[in-house]
Amino acid sequence: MSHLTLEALARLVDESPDATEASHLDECSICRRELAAMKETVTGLSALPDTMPPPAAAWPALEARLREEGLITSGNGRRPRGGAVWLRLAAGVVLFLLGGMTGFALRARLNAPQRPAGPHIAALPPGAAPNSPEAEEAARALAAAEDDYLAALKRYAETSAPDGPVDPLVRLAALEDIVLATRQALTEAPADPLLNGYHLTALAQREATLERIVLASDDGWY
Amino acid sequence: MAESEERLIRRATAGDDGAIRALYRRYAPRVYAIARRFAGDDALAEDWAQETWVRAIRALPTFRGDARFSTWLHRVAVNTALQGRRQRERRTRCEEPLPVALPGRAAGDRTLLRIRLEEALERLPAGMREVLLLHDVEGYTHEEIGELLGVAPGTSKSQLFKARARMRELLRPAAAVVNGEEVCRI
Repeated sequence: MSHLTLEALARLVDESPDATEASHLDECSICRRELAAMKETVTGLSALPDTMPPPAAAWPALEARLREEGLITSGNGRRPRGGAVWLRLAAGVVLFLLGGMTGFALRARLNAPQRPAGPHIAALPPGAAPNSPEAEEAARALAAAEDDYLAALKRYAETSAPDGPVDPLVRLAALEDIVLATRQALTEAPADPLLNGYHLTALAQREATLERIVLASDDGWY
Repeated sequence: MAESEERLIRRATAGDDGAIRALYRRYAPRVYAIARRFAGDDALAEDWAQETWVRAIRALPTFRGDARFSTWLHRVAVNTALQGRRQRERRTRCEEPLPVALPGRAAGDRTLLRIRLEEALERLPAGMREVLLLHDVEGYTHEEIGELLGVAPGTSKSQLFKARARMRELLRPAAAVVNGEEVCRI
């Protein structure tokens, strides 16, 4: 005898069998089993989870597109999550100072034939004599910046411990802010070595952080 | 306290990044699940999910609150997936047989069943997958599917039964598949 087709069985998941089908099902254990399996499949489909975590990098890409299209018009695009403001600030300070040091180093290198090497001299305002009050003030400011830099670096190293409360997205947010700010500043002064230093450092760190996020995308983030 | 959805939507409509991000966090997994199942692969799913959000945010000013936001967004996601599918050629992978015939579910192993179902879904031809997803997974009626796909409800029904039959073939051990139409012959 011919069994019921799979399509007929698929219909019988939702509809009642006609007389012939009912009679066949009464007599045929194979078709009964197959119908039960079909019902199980349909039940399984309806019970599939209705959520799947998207890749972690999906939001930054979407946000960039929404900004491009003018659909996001407020904010700077990044906000820290749950109590991690201090981390964002620390990352910002580190990058600011790191960028500044890079800028000063670039400037010192560019001016090497004309000026003596050394960060204090490199920090002199234009036209200031080495022993002038302006020079001493600049040196003090730089020394203070160096201290701040080292302190921030230490804090950053502590929070960057593998088991520390580091959130790559928060870090990315801080870096994005810095990149945007330095990019804007560079439109005003494109050749400024200090600004270029900040910008390049922030860009490099942002790329590294993005890479980390992508690598960890299996974990989800929200 | 969580911000009300109505207020979030108002802010998002005005382009507020925090509100859009909050809506995304709340509904991204749902949108991605729809895109992923219709697309059948991750890269395409990511594109469609992003497209869904862009369309939804763009269309927020037209959202009147007659339906729940989740329902509205769900519809946007489904429409985006259906349009995305029409814009691309059917992938040959859909027609490939499973590398190993899928056995019936192991008793008590819901996870295994789920994985098998997801794998079999990915291998369904796109047209069958759409109807099966819309009806058996998303719970649309044949009338709604007909409206979405521009076909008669009867066509949706017929496609559904074909899709279920194909799913059973994919899920059954290879030795038990006699041909595409019939369970077996005695």
